[in-house]
Amino acid sequence: MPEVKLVNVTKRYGEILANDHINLTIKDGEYVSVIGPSGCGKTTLIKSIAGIITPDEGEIYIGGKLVNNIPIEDRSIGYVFQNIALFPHMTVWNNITYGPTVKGMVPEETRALALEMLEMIKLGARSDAYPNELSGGTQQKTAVARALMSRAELLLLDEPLGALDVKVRAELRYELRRIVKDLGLTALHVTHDQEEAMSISDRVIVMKKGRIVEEGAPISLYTQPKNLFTANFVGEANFLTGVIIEMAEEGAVIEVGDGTRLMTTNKDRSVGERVVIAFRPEYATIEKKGGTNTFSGEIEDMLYSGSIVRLRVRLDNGELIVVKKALSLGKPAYSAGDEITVKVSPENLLVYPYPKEGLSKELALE
Amino acid sequence: MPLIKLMNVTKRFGKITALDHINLSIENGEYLCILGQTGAGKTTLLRIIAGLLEPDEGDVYIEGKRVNKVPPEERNAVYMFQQFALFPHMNVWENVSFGPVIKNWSKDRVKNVTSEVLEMVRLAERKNAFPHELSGGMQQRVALARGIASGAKILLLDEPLGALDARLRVDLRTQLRKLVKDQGLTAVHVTHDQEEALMTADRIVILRSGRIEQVGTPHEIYSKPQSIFVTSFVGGSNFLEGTVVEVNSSGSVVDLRGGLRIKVADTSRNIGERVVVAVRLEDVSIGTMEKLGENNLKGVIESTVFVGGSIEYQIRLKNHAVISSRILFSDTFKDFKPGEAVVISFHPERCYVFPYPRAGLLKEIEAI
Repeated sequence: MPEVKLVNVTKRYGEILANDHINLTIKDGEYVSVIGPSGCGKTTLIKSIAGIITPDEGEIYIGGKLVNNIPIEDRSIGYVFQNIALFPHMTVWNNITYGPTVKGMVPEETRALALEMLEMIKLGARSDAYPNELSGGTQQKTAVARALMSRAELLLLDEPLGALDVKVRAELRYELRRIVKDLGLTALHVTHDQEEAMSISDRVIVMKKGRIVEEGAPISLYTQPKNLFTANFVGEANFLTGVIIEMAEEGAVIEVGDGTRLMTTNKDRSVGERVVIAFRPEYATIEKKGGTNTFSGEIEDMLYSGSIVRLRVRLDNGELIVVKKALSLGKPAYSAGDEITVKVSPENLLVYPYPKEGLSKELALE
Repeated sequence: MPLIKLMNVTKRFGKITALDHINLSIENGEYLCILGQTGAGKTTLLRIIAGLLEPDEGDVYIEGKRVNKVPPEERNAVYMFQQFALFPHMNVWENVSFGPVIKNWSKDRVKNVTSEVLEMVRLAERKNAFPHELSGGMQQRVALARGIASGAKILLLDEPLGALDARLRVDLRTQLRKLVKDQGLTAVHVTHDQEEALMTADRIVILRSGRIEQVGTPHEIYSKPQSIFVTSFVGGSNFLEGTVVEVNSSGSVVDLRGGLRIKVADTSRNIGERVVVAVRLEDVSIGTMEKLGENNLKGVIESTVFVGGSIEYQIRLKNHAVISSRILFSDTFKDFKPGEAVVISFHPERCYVFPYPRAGLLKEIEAI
């Protein structure tokens, strides 16, 4: 029953608050990811749960039991980190059976469990290989198998894919989720890669400066982020500043400079308030003519990445926005220098109060 | 005349041939990306251009001059390591002006150059900061500024964004290209990240096990991949095995396992030939109508994954093969649920046809 519960967990390094009163519950069987920029405290958090770091304040419970004073080896967790740490002079088989053997597990039991784990990572045929004969991705899968040989039900993954090539990373992340779900484990996965977190987690936690700023299911974090930092961190977004000029029945009407007015579905704000509007580049459509919720502007340039093109559009009010389109067959319908009209529907416009310290500071990744 | 030219460059480490007869020309002002997996030989290639390694065979030319024996500092090129190595006890200004100072440039010149490049990387305000006071992204920009301040016209960038957070990398890659272009420099950028290469490069070189697999503009690499490996490595694709059963002037017909037939625009293969048809995830559309376009295949949604900005669907076809489709989020987006019966479709023009590989399909597409 490895439910994990953190109550007011705080850790300081000198004057830096690495974890600032963290409250978090990870349900039994849940796959949770923690994301955030470098230095946000995500590694401190996972190391506290593992027992590598002792928090200055607060309590950590695993399976309902307070573990603050329980050493790492008695917490019944599997821990995998970025730098693949297999024993180089041992075969795959010896690497994964080493722990149980040293701990005195019955040989037959060790053997049965090891076979099960090798089956799980689809490596049965390579059990005699040495780490240097395996690719980085396969080595990391072996490290996961080894971590699970203790029959741990809680798997802590600290940037487990960080040292691997992008392509390998993208495939291995689904393997990780499959292993966790097939074995009915609870997993906490720390990563700096928001796409990785989005695609494998039941729930994603966003951290900034030692605090949890937001948490939720991947799709709701992406489509309905509650704050500006999240909107920017979990995907590309356009940001425009404006002022609320009317609270209509459908939602706030916002003027974004140059007289452009946008209808939104936001009902929480008040007239006169300074706000930031955010929208994802793929939600903008290109229209033949103006109308409600449209801007006009000129295509400054077009950036291709495979099947996707990003049009950078200089709006008539001087602001630069990005519109993302899937490329279809044939010649692109637009080119740099074209005057176009861009539309964003009211329900796709996210509205936030203008941050006290300014927009760029609020969005800063470093 | 190309700025950099490699002719039959070969490099061995013991029994491993890291580079196997590489021929490559890089033009002045070009932004070239070298893309490949770990162990493909990317770093070796870059280090040979830098002069940090000497080829066992072949010649390296810079500005028309053979440089095999020319030391790194005389090559007009600066090599930037993956792990940027700033002097920890020097502040930003001292780090950046280090090269010009030891080259004995006049005080005014050192000052002008240093301020200019710091302005360029947008770190003028942090000139008094020490490396440890800066974020990883800022440190990387200082390292870049130091490279540019040295006056070198060629930037050799070895995974320049590799040590940074994914989100920051996306911001910095466009800035990096702009900087190189604005300054009229030439860049050779090594990466394993295909999206980074597609977004920054004028031209991409795909390296595989020490050999060049394909060279082309990002558009060419993406839309005219010349091998199964390239199709698999750049962008995600479905690979369908089959046999050519018909070839006519407008295309061919391929029989897939389980009796499913698809049309492809390719006419280069022969009847009876065993082939692999690659279809990119984003070229597979999903609908509920009987007929969506061409190549309509019935199936059932098996699973869905949200990847941020788009959704990937796995669809099990009647012949039990699974096809993946990636749909960009948009206003017209329609969601499908697991278990839902659907029809998928893909255009014959968007099918890449390759002869079935001798060593088997898996060997060509396996990443892990």
